Amino acid sequence: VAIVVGQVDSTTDLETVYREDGARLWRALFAYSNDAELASDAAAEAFAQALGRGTAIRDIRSWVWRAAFRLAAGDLKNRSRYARVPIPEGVTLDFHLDDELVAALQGLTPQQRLVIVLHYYVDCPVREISRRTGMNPLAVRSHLSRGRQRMRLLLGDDS
Amino acid sequence: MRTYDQAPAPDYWSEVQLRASSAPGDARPERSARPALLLVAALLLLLTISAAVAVGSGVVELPWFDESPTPSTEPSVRGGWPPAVWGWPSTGPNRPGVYSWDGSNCAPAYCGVSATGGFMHNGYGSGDVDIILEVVPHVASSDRDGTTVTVAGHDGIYRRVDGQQEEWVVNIEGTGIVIRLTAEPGTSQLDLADAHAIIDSMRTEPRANNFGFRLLFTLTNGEWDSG
Repeated sequence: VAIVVGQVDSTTDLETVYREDGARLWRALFAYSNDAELASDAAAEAFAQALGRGTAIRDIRSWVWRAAFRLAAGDLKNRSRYARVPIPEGVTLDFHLDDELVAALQGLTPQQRLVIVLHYYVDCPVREISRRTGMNPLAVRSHLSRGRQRMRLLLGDDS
Repeated sequence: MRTYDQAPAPDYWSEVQLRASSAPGDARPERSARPALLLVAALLLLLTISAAVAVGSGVVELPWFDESPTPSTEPSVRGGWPPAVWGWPSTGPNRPGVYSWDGSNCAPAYCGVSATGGFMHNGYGSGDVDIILEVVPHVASSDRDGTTVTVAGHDGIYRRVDGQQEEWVVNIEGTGIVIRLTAEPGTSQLDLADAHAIIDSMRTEPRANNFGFRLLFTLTNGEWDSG
């Protein structure tokens, strides 16, 4: 169902992006923030803002990803949730996450965590991470390198 | 990371529609700088550029510079003079030449807040290789495992950490230096050889800094970036 908001021509495109990327974006945001509520809020807000901007956005997919992670980062900062917190009660009701993985992710800097999630969960190559985050490709590589080393250390993986 | 595939992602399309249709004006605004801030930023930029031009053109001379991080466009030796030594790190691509590292840390923006060493990366080439220089309080006994080699003109040890990482540990006049070379899977032999050549070129030079020396090394091409 297309709704009339802003420039409606892009609604179908955006809905396609949502159908294709919506769940993965939410999971990536969840991995990044360790907060299901925050992930839902950032993802919905990013899509809503994209819907409002209509055809003014050339690359909807990249824009939504970039906006969602910026919103999530802002929310995390505001809520001071960079601390390594356990998964809140009720979030992991019907699935189980590797606690060590969650703790290791939370042990990274926000930027390291962002590129690690996009690279290893979303399978984005460096150039794509750069497009989706607005980071310089060199900075992406740097954060990836540092994040990988840190993850290896935190997970006790010498292999 | 695939365990996150099990996380039950909600269907939030209706929420998207609700937010977009209810009050577009309530959507969180994008960041926008205030005009006054933009004006101040523009003035500061103008001042900075003017100062840089004045210093660069020699109109203003800074007396405390005993060496310039970019003394010339040509690092080659001419007439028997020693080659110019460029400071490290330098942002942006670094041209071929001799560089120095005196223990300065990688910029937090690139390496995270816990950065404790120098960082270089062939990001203007394949981007597959990086080298980290880290000062450690002392070289622990566990760091003695490995093959004995000469590093920067001093006795040190070398070991392969894993398929992607190699490590050199050396004690230079009481200061432990760890040099880590990390290569992405599939890194070309050419890129690896280039990184090894940088480490092989390392030597020390007495210097009045915290360590009493600085580390010199040579870049043979312009593919390297630092942080």
